[in-house]
Amino acid sequence: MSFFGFETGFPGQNKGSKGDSRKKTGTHKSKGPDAAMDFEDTYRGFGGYEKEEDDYLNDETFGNTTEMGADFDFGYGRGELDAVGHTNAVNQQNINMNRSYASAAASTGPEASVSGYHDDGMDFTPMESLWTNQALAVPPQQYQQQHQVLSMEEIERLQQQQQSQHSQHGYVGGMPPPPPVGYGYPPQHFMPQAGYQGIPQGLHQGPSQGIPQGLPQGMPQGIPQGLPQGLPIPMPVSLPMPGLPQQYPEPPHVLQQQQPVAATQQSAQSSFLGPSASQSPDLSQLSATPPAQAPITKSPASSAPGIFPQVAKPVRSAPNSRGQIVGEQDSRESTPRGIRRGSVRKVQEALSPEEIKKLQVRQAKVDKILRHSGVMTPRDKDFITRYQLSQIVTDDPYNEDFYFQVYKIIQRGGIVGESNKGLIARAYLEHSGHRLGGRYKRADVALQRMQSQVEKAVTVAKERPHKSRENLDSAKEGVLGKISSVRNSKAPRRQLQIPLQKGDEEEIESSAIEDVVQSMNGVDLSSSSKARRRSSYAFRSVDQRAVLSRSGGRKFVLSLIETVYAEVLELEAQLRSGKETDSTALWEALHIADDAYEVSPFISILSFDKGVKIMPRIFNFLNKEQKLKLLYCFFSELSHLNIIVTSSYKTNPDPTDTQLKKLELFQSVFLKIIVSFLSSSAEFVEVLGLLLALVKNNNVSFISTSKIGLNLITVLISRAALIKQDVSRGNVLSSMEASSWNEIYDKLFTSLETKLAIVFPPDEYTSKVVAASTTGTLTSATTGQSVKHQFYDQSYIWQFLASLALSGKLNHQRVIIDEIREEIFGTISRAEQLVSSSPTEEQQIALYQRDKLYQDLNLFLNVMGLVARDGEISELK
Amino acid sequence: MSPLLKDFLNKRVVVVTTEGQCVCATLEGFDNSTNLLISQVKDRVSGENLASSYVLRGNQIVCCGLLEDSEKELAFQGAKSLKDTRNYVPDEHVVWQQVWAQKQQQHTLQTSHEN
Amino acid sequence: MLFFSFFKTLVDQEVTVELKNDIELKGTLKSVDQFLNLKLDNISCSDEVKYPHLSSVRNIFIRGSTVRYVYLDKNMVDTNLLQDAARREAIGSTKK
Repeated sequence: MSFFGFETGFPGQNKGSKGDSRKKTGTHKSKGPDAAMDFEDTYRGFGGYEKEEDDYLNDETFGNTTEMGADFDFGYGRGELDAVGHTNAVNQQNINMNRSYASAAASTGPEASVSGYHDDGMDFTPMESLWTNQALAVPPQQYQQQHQVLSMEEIERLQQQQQSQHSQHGYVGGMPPPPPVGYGYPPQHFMPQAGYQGIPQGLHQGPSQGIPQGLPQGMPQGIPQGLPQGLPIPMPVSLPMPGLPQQYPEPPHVLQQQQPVAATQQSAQSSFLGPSASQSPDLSQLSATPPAQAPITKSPASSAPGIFPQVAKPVRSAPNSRGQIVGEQDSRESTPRGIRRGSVRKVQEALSPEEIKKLQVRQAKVDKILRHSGVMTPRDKDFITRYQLSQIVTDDPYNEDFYFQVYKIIQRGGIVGESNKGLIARAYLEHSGHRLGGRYKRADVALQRMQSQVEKAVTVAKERPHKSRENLDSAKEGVLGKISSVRNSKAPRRQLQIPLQKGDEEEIESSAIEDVVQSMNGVDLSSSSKARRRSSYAFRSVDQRAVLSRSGGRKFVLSLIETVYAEVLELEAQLRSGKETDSTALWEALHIADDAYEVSPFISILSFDKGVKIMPRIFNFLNKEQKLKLLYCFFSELSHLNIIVTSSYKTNPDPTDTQLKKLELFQSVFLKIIVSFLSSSAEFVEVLGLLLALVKNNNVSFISTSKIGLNLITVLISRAALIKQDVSRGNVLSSMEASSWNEIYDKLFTSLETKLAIVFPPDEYTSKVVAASTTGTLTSATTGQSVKHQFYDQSYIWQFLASLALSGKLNHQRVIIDEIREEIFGTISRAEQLVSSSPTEEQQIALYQRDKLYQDLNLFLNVMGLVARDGEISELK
Repeated sequence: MSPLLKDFLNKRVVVVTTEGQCVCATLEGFDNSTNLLISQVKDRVSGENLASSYVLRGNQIVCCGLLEDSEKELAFQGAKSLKDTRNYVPDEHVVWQQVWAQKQQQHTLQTSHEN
Repeated sequence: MLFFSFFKTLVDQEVTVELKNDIELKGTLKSVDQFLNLKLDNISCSDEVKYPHLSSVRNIFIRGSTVRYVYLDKNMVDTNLLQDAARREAIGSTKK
């Protein structure tokens, strides 16, 4: 406690009148248990300790026993220290000096009470806290606990009360310190001395003194110093401390404030002794002593003697004008400093039970208000907000949030808006061949296109009645006579043979064909690979493993597909960023010209759905020559194509739903590419080249048993026919082209001749397809109400036959009609039966279906100038 | 971050922990890894006061739902306790013991057949 | 980020979340974060009788780590797009 008071007030007396102090001690003995303490003893004792090498207090003093760390704040109070001329480090001289003051104070001061007070500080832990930033060990005193509950208001009030007590009784007794008088002092000056003085006093008086009061002395010192370093930590845990919450957000500020706090507090402490001293009988002596103080201070410290006069001054005035001092204190109560002091200080105060209770209530309230406040700091909240924002706004939404961005645009049903994201997604959609990005959404579209191509060709053919007339006449003779009389559905279908034999027509390679091959200019594959592949086309199995193994193995093909995807994605990225695209790597990845495998890996790529799906996007990056090569490869090895094998009723008589879906996918994706390529950019001779590749290298009759195969042939020949018609209208077909076409057509026709009827799948197969098909795309499930009304859509067959007949000469057409006569009649009878056998409520459906059947059939018949209607075949008008 | 929990701040929530505990509490704070600071913690079923405030580690959290009706802090009594999320198989070693034993048996059978 | 991106497309859709403690919650997905923590609205517990704990809770936060399954309607997912996104992700990660 306020060693300050001693310092200022008693130094002179200290030295000058030891006897007096003892006398006083004696006088006041009754007031405190420790009153008997003799200054000389304590002084000597302390000195002795100090000199000893193994001073048992040494560790306490210098902190050897505790880990101090390197973060203690020597700067604390530095300004003041410097002002006084002290060094920062623990200064032996200072200690000595202080010690002398302290002991002097103890002996002179109101004796027992005062000294006893200091002695309580026997717990040295608080001192440790001076040097380290460790938390204070909370002393066991009841005292302490009581103090914790103090609020600043209480403290202020208490101080006032006590002060008035002091002034009345002039005596402090065993009461804890609250001495208001000292407020008058400029705290800074007191600081250093207070700090240092406290230590020695506690030390040397300690051993002989009781514990209870010591803490208050140590505490105030420990706390202020601890705060700037570790901050709230050293504080007794549950101090209500109204000031604390404010301090949290601004620790630096606290640092600054805390020092003044300590200063004031100590000044308060020191001043406490002031009044008591003044009350002492030797008051006059005390006030007279200041001069004597100077030598003492000076001799050890040799520092700033000028300070002391200042310090002493108020003390001297204190006895004279106590009232004035009190007034000063009052005025200061409202200042922040006062508040701080109070908050720190309450630790030392004793309270009555009612006050404690009040305080507890109050603390509970404060607690409630403050509980968790600041748990999420504004920075936390800000962080989260920024995080949210960072997720909304990304530098590269296309890459980081690809799925979401594109999906959302698709969901909106198209590309909307001109926002950045919209553009990004559009770029993806345009290049990806995604269902929304492409021109057509459905498989039907490719088929419709093919159909319209056929129809167009047929229409053109119909416009040449003179030719058709001849066909009609001959057809009538050969076929029509029977039609009118017989509804021939009784003849059982011919047992179908799996056409394993190679067509012998393959050897016929006329010069004209060679010309075509030549004209395709490098598109043709090397002769060696041609031979290799031709030798292997007899392979047919739904099991694709064998094919895969011959093109590098399943794993290889799958990795190939991923490589292709990676290349395509890379190319698309380049395209978006406006760079030149180089499709070389992509082309390499496709392995189209790769002879190392028995079956081109490219064909095997098409065995997988994802391989098929990527095709449109591949086509975006290929030039025409590459596309042509790709298609040439495709048509050459068509027999190996898994989808052909799967869609042939011969090799796969029991199609599953999955297989049918694959089929649909292939139609919607790859067939579409072929149709659009052929119709947009392929020259006549190129179409011929592809057809030749197909005919030469494959068993055409087998391919024709597959729906996809038939589609592909149809696409080629109908396109060729259309070009020929166009050409014949305008330009003249070169003789070479014309003869090539005739030869290739002959080859094709020969390979199909006598096997034309097998393009019609058997009833068992079609019914299975109808049953397995759930989508209705493969069948003309117009109603879906009953399976009974679903039937196998044969339009693709009639389209094929129509295209075939279209390009054929009269004898070709005659052969065709002859071979499929039964199918024609069968279709007609089925159409008629539909209506007659249907219950009346389903008549509408039946009528529609009948019309559909006739429509398909007539596409073919029209080529020859015929039309089927109402169960009859008549001449086309 | 879990800005998702922002709406629940300072409101009564129901928290289910990975241990299968279900409590009702006020959400005082949370952080990036779903560590939750909750207060006035009550057991959802028994209503027993568990703690005045508590920090739940994020990895203990299963879900945290906003209590619509603060009157209904208690699920009705006798509700079946929730499972934990560990799906620990009690005495798992016994299972594997048996698997092992079976394999041994098969093995011996096979060898005896071969013999 | 793929799954985060993916789940974002499911926002405002009705999903069923099965937790590792066997509770199934059906509700409208309101929000998702990069930990795949989910926020559902208007939840209903599939076995309210057995687990009444979440009765009178409508809006719930679910920690992503405790989700076992999220059941979706098939047509909420654009498989092709998702595959493409996955490829992009894979390419992106191998590049890094």
